[in-house]
Amino acid sequence: MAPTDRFQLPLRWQFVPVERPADRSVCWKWSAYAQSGRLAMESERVFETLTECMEDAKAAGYGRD
Amino acid sequence: MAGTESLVDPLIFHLVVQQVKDYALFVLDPAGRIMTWNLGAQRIKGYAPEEIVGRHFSTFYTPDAVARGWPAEELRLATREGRFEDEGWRVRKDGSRFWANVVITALRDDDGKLLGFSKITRDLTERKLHEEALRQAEERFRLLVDGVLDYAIFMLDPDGVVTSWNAGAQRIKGYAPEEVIGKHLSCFYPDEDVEAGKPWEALATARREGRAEAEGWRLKKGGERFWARVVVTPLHDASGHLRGFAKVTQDLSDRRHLQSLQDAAREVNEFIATLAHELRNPLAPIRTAVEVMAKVPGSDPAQQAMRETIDRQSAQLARIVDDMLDIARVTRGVLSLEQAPADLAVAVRHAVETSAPAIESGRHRLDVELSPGPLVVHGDMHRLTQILVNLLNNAARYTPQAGRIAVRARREDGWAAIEVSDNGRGIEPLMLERIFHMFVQGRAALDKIGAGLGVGLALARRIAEAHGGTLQAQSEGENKGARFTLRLPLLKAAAQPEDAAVQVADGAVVAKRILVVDDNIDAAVTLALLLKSLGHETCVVHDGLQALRMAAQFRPDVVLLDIGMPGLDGYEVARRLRALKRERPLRIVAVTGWGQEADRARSREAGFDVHLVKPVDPTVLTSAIANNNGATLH
Repeated sequence: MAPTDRFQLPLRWQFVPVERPADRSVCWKWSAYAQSGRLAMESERVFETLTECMEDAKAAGYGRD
Repeated sequence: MAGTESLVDPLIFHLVVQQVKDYALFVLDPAGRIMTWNLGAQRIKGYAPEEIVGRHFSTFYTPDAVARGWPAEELRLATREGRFEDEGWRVRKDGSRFWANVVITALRDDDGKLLGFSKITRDLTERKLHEEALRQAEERFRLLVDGVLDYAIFMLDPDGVVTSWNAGAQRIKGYAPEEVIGKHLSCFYPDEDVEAGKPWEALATARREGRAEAEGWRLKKGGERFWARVVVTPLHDASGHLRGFAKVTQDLSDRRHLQSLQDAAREVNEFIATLAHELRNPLAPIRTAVEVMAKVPGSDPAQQAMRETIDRQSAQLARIVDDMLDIARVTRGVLSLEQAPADLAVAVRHAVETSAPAIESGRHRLDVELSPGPLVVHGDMHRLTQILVNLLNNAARYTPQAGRIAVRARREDGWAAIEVSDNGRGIEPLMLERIFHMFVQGRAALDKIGAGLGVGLALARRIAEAHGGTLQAQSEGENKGARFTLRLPLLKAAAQPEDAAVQVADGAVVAKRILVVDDNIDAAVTLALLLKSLGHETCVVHDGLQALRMAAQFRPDVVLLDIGMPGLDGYEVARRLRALKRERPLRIVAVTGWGQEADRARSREAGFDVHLVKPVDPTVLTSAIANNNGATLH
């Protein structure tokens, strides 16, 4: 559930590559930080591609005003 | 003849001489003392007879002339020659000077004995002043002409022989005055022009028409040719006689060279535009085929890798083709912008999505920071996104693997500022401005493949400036990262962004009946395959008449219509489709290689809802098909 307090709204979205130790392949996760700098949300799983990761972030509010 | 005798009466003659006012007439004794004095002498020199008779005539000379014995010399010469004439300064009674013409005649008796001298003096001061003024004017004009370096200005006599030569003539033609004065003007013409009689023809034309003007090759001293513009003007004296010609020659070699460079640049530009258009057509089916292949499940890994290679390389090729078209537009000054309220936050998100493959390929961490609320500017969403895509792709390209890229959008006193920064290769200080020039690769790419044409930043800045904004680069130096800042004036609060003309469809695709019309069979078939893979029902035809027939039978919801086709072109097909009575609305989408503003305007007039330029991005195509709200995009 996304926060509704404007100060707590995610302001900075971070898309981070994560290397799998097993095969050194890369997957992606996202994090969202509020204006206060506090971590507001993060992805619940990792994604094969950055595009998929962004699509998941969209569902959480990335890209909405 | 009593009357005649009376005229030569000495008394009458004396009276005549005495009464003359325009000339000073008087007699000197052999030593130079004044013996008589008429009215003219009194008027011109200011002395009454009683003041001057008996004095030596040197009274009228300047101290300088007296000091060098000039009065005595005049009498000596007059005595020897019988007559002496001179012009020079003389002095009046009041000390003022006048310019005098003087004639001294020796008077002798029948035996030749010297009795004295008659002296006639005219006051020529006015004439002298006029001549001096004329001389000074001529001197100024001569200095002016002599000082001109950009034009060869010289005089010819009536036969065409050089009589004067200025510094410009020396600079342009290489001859010193002493080398060329006295030569005929034909020495400046190439042999073929001399044989054709052009030098004489120029003089004849100038004489006949008052002026002769021509452009052509001329020769320098060493025989080197230069391209010249020449004007010949005849010079006549007061009585209308031809005294010669003035010739002015301008060296147009640089201008001609510049013109030829501009012509060459225009031809290259036209070639680039044509080449880009020609490349678009084969690219379209390749891109579509790759999309179709991607949707085929279970292909073996080798095939998948090859498909991905084709995908990457053809996408890069498409970008180069787009760059080529933009180069052609920018150099012709016809980069068209669609002006409408546009939210830069949306542009940032679109750009980030478009650049995702490059960022992903570099395994870069990406930070996207958007200020709350829209950042609305007046501009072209597509072009603004293009700027940001360029900056993001550059950041990905010039940042070593696993780097950091950040996009930050914020408000700044009525401006929107978007920063794209990275921790990559950085930019040398000397290159910070040069990277915005055409064809400059500002940073050594980590991977030369896909480095592009070096026009992206130049285009990006032009687009920013066309929106009233700026695009600046900052870097602390090599390997210290780079930051690009795009600033655009924010729109006043009243204006809001229009609904996007084409919305990317979310969720399930609604199946449509789609008629694909393209004379390029590969393009049509691959496009239809792509549409089928998306769940649509398709029908393919390859010319305009078939399209009209099939529209009646197939009853499509959407027609994807190429414009450049033999027979009926896409414009005419669209007009005829619009004229048909239909039970359901029909969406007509242009899918064409031509994307100029004039092409879009023409398709709009013909009844197209959407104008897409090949190769079409499948996402854009999907949204163009899905849009049912009547919105149009050209």
